[in-house]
Amino acid sequence: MRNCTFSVSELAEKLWRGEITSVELTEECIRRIKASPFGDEFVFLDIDGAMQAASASDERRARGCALGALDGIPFAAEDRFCTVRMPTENNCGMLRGYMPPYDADAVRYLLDAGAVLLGKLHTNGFLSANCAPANDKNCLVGANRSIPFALIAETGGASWFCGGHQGIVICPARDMISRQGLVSCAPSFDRVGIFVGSFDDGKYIMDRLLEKTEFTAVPDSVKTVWWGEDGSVDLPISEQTRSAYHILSAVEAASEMGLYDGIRFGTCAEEDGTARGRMAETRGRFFSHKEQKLILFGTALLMGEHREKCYFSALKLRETFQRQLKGLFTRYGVLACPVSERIVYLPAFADLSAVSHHGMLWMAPRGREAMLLSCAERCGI
Amino acid sequence: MAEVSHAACIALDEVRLAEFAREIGAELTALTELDQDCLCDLNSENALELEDFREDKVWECLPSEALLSAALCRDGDCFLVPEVLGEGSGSA
Repeated sequence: MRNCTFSVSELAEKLWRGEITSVELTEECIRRIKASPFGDEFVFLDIDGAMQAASASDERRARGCALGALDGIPFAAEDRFCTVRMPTENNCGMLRGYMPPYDADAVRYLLDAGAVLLGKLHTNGFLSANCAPANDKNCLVGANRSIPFALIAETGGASWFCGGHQGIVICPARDMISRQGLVSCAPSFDRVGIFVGSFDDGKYIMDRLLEKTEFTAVPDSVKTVWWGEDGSVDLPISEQTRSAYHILSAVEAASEMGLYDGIRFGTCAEEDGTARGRMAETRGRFFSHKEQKLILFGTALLMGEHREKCYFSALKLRETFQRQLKGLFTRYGVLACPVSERIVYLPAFADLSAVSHHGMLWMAPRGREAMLLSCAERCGI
Repeated sequence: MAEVSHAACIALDEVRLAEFAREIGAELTALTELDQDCLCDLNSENALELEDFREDKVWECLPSEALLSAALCRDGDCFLVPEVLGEGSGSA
């Protein structure tokens, strides 16, 4: 057990054969988490809950009532997903100690399949809306050594950098996996995805999350267009599209953070005075410096001349860009390019399904997820 | 920035307000370059028509240089390609 690699399909096979138990597997994951050199990738660990779930899984298996191949497999979720057993703080002071009354849909799908939720991973929270630097999700790299797979939330593109030699990031287009229970950062960009160690694992878990989508064999010939330094297509990707993403995500994030007023949602500063005064004091005290800057920036973009010049222009640019890409994908199956800070926001901006592996980002319209995985698997060396 | 913080309902001290005014002001100034003229407009006669990619070019690598030389570059950021890509077309 100590030297075993964490492949969901291999672990499922071992559990079914009785070579290991879910309790042993969960204990091994906990041991690796505690021994991890990163140390801070988990913000919450529910050891008692995980061991209870693992025991229940072993009992079901002993009775011949296993729920499926994910039954007894440990996983982790980013701290943007609501979970009943653990706080959901989204790395934000306004949500300190918040205990949701329900599990997020994506978490619930996996729990219903018998998977064992070990803990919550560090997240950038509302700052996920920013175009993220490469090292923003190092927690996933650390977690990959300790757990078979992780449920992630993707907004600004930080996750794509983790699809290197450490693992594979798979993120379908928006709303293909329910976002119910995901703390919203920028609603038109937020997506649910997974971080896994192999393509087989990815296909299996995506089948479960997308509910009955079968990843059947794809045709041998897939029209793939390459975009990159030696690429064949130049798209109108520029600082304009990056700026448009920056504008729209900031406006949406400011709007979402507007919900946290200390009266309806979020913690509250105990101040006397008017309701508005209490709200302002609460938001000034419990949002971080960076979150406050994002709120002000997003608010300013909707005021005065910026509303027309920036916000409405960004909306139009996004729509134009999506239409252009639609034309591209009538001729090509998949778009591929190296992962870089210049393009990581693209899948969210253009509402594409995407896979990241070995430093490459593969993108395609919704409905082509099987094709995406097949291309990435065949071409990723 | 005081007006923005009032609209956003965040209580901030003078020092923080001034700091944000500087930082956000600079970002907003840079963003005002993003206006309608800089957008790639599909309705424009010079817009990039991806649907005009020739079928026989699908498996070939269209060299970036060919596209760049054919493109009418507006503001150096957006690439607009006249009409149809292919032999004899797109000459500047």
